[in-house]
Amino acid sequence: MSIKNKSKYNLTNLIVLKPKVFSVICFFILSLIGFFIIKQQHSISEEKERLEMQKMLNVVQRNIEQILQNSHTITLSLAQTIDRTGTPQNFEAVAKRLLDNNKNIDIVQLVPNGVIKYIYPLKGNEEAIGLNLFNTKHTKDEALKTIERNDIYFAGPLELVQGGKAIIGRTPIYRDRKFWGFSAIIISLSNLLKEAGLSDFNISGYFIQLSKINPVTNKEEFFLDNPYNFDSSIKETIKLPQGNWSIHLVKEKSNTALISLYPTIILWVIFCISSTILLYFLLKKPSELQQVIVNQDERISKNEKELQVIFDNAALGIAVIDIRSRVFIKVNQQLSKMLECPISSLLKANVHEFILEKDTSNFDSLLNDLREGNLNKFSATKKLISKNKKIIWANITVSPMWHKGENPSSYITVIEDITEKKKSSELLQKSESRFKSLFEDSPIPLSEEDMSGVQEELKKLDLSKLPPTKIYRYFKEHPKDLYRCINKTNIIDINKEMMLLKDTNSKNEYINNYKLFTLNRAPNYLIKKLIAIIKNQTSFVGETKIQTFNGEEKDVLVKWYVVPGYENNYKRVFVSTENITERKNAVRELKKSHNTLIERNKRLLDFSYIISHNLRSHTSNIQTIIDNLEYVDNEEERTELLGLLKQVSDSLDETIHNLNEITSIRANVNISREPLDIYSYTQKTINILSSKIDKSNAIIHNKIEPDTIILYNPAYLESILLNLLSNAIKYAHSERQPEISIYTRTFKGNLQLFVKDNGIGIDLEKHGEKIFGMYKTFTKRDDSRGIGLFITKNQVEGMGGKIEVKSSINEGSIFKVFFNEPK
Amino acid sequence: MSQNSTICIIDDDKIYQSLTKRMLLKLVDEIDIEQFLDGSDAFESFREKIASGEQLPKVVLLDINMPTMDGWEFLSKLEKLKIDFSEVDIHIVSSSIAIQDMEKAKANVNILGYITKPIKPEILKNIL
Repeated sequence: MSIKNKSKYNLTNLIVLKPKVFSVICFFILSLIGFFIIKQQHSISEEKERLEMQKMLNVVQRNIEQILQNSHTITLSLAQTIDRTGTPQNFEAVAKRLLDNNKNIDIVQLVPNGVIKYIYPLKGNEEAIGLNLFNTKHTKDEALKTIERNDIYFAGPLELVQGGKAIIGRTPIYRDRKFWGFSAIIISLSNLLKEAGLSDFNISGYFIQLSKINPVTNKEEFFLDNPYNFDSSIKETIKLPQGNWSIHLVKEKSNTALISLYPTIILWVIFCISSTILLYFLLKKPSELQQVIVNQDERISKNEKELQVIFDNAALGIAVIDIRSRVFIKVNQQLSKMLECPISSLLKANVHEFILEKDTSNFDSLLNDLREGNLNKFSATKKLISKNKKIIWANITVSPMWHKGENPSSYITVIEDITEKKKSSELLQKSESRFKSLFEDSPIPLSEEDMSGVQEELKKLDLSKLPPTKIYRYFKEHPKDLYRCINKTNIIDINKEMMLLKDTNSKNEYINNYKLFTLNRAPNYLIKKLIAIIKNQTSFVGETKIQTFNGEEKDVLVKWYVVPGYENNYKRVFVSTENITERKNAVRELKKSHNTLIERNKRLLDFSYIISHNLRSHTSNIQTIIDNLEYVDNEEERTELLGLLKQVSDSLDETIHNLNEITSIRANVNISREPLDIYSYTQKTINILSSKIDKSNAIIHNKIEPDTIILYNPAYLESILLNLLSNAIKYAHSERQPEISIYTRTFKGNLQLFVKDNGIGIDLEKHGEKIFGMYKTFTKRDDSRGIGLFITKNQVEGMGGKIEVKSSINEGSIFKVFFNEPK
Repeated sequence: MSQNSTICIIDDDKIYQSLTKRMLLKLVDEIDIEQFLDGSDAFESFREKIASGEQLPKVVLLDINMPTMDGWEFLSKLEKLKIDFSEVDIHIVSSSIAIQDMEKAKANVNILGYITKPIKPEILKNIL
């Protein structure tokens, strides 16, 4: 896992990674090349021009030299006219001839001793005669220079005395080695130029200039009207020593050559730009690719670094192993730590040294599958042994280090030390089994239930925001929802005690029939349970009744709690179902006897009240009468008081009689019962009351089915019927005909007697408690004694039944007697 | 004895009524005695008196156990009429020696006393 050096990419990087820079550099190089090429071309064309100009000038030079040569010849010929005496002979004729032959020469002169003496043609040039050259300022130097040269020398161009510009060629003449004078010719400048071919020089782009270094001033003087400031221009010059002249051929505009280069320059510039752009685009693509490669490279190197870090610092042992020799090629720190062997010695070691089991065939076959490509990777749990003989449980994951189609070389192994895990899982298993046996053998009936389904079903109903009372009402009104939710409970397991409780031998029987039994449970309990789940409570306590497989009913106290970790999904809930039937029964019994006691107590109180009130009212009256009797003085008063005493004793007797009747009912615990035809008894009672019935014009309906037999005490039945019927007649409504119905119903196997009237009715709200009390009357009728219903109630209750009344004022009453026959 | 010397006896025991009347007549020379055999009759009379602006009896001897309307009901109805109880002395006269009755009477501020039968002339004298 080495990290590649980046520096070798530098040059390529410059070209490829910076296409802009490179393109600009190329542009400059191309421009430079262009510059040199154009410059070269320019100088070649200049050279060519120069040669052309040279050629032109050569013609001029030749012409001029021709003229000058002729001039020399003429001066010499003219000098021939001079005789021995030094006087020219036939000057005129010779001069005329010479001039005729040489049309380019305008004037000829002979200047003996520097004084112009002979001129041909004289006409027009008379003014020059007698001019001493040596005395004249502007001719003196040149005259002397001529002598110095001892050859023809041209002076001028200068202004002639006789007018006009001309050059004067003078040749010094010696006679007998003695300076004689000059033989001179004068050529007008225009003539000279014409002869030299310069006057009609008219090649566009060029002009001619004639210059001479002034011998006096030593400055170059220009003689032609053309411009003379052409030092920097392209020019060609010839020098004529005979007159110290220079003839310049000047190119008018020195940049004309450049103009001709413009297209080339423009084309080149275009070429440079376009090739630069082209280059840029050509380079750009590989540059982008290169950039991608560089980025990829960086990423790879980063990944490699990371991998290296992971490899080095992983909490797992990692090793690269040669597939043939099974020797470690590469190992990390963790593995070395795990196997308690330094990396250096590990690297020489064979894998087998660290594998505990000698039988590795299974592992080898897996490895073989990997090699053949049947497997992508595999994991195995193996026992390893460290160098210090410590046993390590390891989870080994093997992946190939070759690609598909490549030759298998080595594989990478990730080794996880699971010794601790193994230990704790063993512990867990132990505790699990301990728990299992606890669960199984617990003396309390237990079950493990999955209520997640219930919870999900409840979520659909979306009741969680409602208060419990509203949820309760909802389920009361929607029993289908209630049972659908409850039915989602799944029993995971139950213990032995639970099976005992349910009278079953098979767990499956219980689990399969669980739902059937739940439905029989009281809905209140089920709703309470659902509310606990809706409110996400983790525990629950509730009492209910269950039915065993034998059909027996049992009272149970159900407690459950959600196994920690399952609070949110109710997947595991432990339920204990304690049999509290006996306790419940005991409580019921207790309650029953408690109620009986209360009832007895109440009766006792009633009785003491009766005694205290009903008897004391009589005795107090007796006392008062006796007190009064003591102080009575007349007989009339005494008789009156004794009459009162008689009344008191009568009513006391009646009261005691009534009390005796009641106590006899109460005292009779086992009153005899016999089968009685209730219809006949009713009929008999109607007969007894017939006179009262007739008097009140009442209609009596005996709707009792004939031959309805009950087991009852005959005297009580007679008394009950008589009391109820006579009451019904007694309290008839004054505004309507009394109508009384007597009928029976059977409820839960018990016969009930109904006596219904349309009488005055009783305000039960006001008198409800008292209606069956002793001496309670609610009307101002004289015959209300308030004892009949009290006796009836005592008789009914004495037989184990009860009596109830329903009544509305002005509408009537229904008395209902529950007979409660023994089974 | 003040000008208003009406005494009202409410009891369903006719013998007691006549005996008490005798006793009262012997004790006081001038006295109006109103007698009712149950609470509802007495209440009607009270109501009529209040409606017509008549004076209510100075002393009321009230029995507890009576048919139709007992002593307690009579009292509670009377309280609803918002009469001035400082002008009407109400005494319970009952044969009941039950503690509940006595305590109930004691708890009511409008009841001046609880007398168990037989009623003695001395006690009657005191009341008057």
